[in-house]
Amino acid sequence: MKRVKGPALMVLFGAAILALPLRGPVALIKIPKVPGPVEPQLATLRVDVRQELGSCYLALARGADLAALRRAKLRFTVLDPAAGGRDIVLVRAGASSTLERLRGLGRAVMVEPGAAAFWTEEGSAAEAVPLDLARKALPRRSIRLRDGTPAVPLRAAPTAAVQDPIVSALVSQVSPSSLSSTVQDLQDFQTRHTSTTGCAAAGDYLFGAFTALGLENVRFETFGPLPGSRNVIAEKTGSTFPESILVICAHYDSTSGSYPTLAPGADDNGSGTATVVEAAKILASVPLDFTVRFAAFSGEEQGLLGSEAHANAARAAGDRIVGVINLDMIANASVLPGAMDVYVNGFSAWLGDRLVEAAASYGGPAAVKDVDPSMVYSDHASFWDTGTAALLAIENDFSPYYHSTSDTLDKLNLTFFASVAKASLGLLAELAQPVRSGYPRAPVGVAAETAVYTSLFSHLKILELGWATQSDAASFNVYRSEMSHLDYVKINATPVAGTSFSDPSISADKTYYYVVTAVGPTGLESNRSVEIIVGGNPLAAAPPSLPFFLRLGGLR
Amino acid sequence: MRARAIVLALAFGLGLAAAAPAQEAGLTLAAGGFFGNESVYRDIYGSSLPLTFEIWAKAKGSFGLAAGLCVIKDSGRALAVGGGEAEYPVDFRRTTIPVVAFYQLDLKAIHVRVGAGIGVHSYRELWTTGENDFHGRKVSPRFVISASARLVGRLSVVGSFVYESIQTGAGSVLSSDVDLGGFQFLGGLSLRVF
Repeated sequence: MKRVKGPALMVLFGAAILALPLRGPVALIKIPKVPGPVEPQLATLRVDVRQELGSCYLALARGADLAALRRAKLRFTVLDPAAGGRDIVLVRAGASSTLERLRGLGRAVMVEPGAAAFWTEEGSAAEAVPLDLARKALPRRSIRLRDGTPAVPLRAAPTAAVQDPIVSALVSQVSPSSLSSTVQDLQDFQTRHTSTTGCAAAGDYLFGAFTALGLENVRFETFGPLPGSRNVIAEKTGSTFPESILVICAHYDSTSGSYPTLAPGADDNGSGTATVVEAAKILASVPLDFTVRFAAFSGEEQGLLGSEAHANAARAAGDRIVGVINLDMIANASVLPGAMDVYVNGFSAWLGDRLVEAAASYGGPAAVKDVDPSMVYSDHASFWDTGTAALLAIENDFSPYYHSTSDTLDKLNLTFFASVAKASLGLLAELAQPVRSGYPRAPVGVAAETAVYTSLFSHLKILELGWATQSDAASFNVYRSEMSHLDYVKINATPVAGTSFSDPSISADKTYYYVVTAVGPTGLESNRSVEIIVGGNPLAAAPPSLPFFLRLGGLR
Repeated sequence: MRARAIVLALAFGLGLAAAAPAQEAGLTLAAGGFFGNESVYRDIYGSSLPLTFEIWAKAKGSFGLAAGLCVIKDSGRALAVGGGEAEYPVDFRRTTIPVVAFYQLDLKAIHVRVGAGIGVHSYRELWTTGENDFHGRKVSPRFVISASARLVGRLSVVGSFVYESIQTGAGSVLSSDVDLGGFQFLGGLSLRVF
């Protein structure tokens, strides 16, 4: 026994010595976004990035990580040298007085203009933040990085609005009275604060509504111990691309200064929730190419807890989420027609462009796209953290009754509310693609292979697209764009008779987006296939579902 | 074309200038093998066949000057990077005007020359299916060692070793700065005019 003990102790001692550099405090650091993408370097160094903002990244780092950052000549600032195990919250802090208020409640430090990191030595930091301040909990795991705004081509201005008659017919079913009825029902729970049974009852109500519509996979997603810590999820499975999912979501929890008993939350966020329910009502019986997921999140007011749980679960399950439409406070407008702000980050910009177009096409309000990765104070940000394209639609005329007991149905502008609902449904239906009777089916099984041929001084990159045969198609068309889901241009000069197509005119260093359509014997053209992404920087191009998408860091 | 003609005329002028007080002058025609420095070149074209024509003149001492024309022409197939089964034939041609000063060592019947100078290169790589066509020009140093032995009358047999490094500053996927230089082993005949 003695013979074994000695060497074993030495091994243990050696292991302890080796492990020393891995120990030590975890610091919260800020890494500025510098000209030239910083993301590939962060990926190489496996930095545990927890938040992207407009001007910087927030990350957790130990001593060895800091040394690696220094060696890589990446600038950083330590915001909190001992952040390990802390419950850190980002708070929207537009005024300097906000920082002072936060410092009166705990520790706060400005991260960038308009955003502060806040934590407390004891208790929940999110709960300690005053009600009038928007907040987001720092994710509990590394976020998925995608190239930021400069690397993603952004369209300068929306193209002319084109109405789809089938989508128009669906949008025309949006009913202001139905929307207001749902808001009234939600308001009648008195409070939907996550900690209350009212929130739980509201969850049951939504579960019942989705079930009554005959939606599939209706379920609760529990993410915490409180009565209302439940998301309500339902799906309408796509008939052509069931694995590709579009999400329309809103948080149904509410808050106010009297939240244990009264937090009507008509605008925040009965309005968004009612629109999700309205979309479900209208689309429930419509065959769609893509799967639509209707999600009512809770825990948003505590720092996006419900949507964070859902987005992480979807990421873990490998869900192929094409885009997320998050509606939060969409019913306040002092004067008509009112305006809607559409917040996106760099890789979600296409979604913002599409909503702006849909608003113009389907009776929506004036919509303004704002590419702002710092706007992380609603549920879309949980999807940004998982590398999924997502937008936030929110009223431009911010409700004066925000987080108050006066946020009631009578304060809403139903005309404006219905117009935002129409725009949102229009975009959702366009992306989900109603199946058209008499038209060929959208091509399935579209896949791409690229080959690069090189000589001494020149090269040729060839894309070979292939798809499944289908009996209802006489030929096919191939469309290409340099922006996701936008501005596709047909690239086949003559109809493609077979099930493959070569595109020899692509550049090795660009990202391209392809869709294929089928053309029937009478010339009717099908809906689009799923979008295929080819080439370029995987950080910039890869959809979140693809395995080569870079995942950074790990849990500490 | 005009620049090439000027350089050619200059080379001939230099040759004539050297030949004026020359003790010996002659012509050399040689061919052999070219082995490129660049691995991509070797992968596409393998070893190539250079053809060289040279006018040389030797002064009273042991120094002389040589100038001429060297052509390397070859065909190959574009390399498929990461898969791909299509074939894209490519043609390569390099024309060099060498101007080299040499020192000649006479060892009884064998004359050994060691020389250094420049090569004025013009090159073209053409995808014969029309996708790409690349042209370029470059001047680079050129080093030569040769040996000749009298065969019959004024005719000698010549063997040469030539080295060049031609950094083009251009390239493609596998090399961003292609070196078109390499080693040449040449064999041929030399005719002494006087």
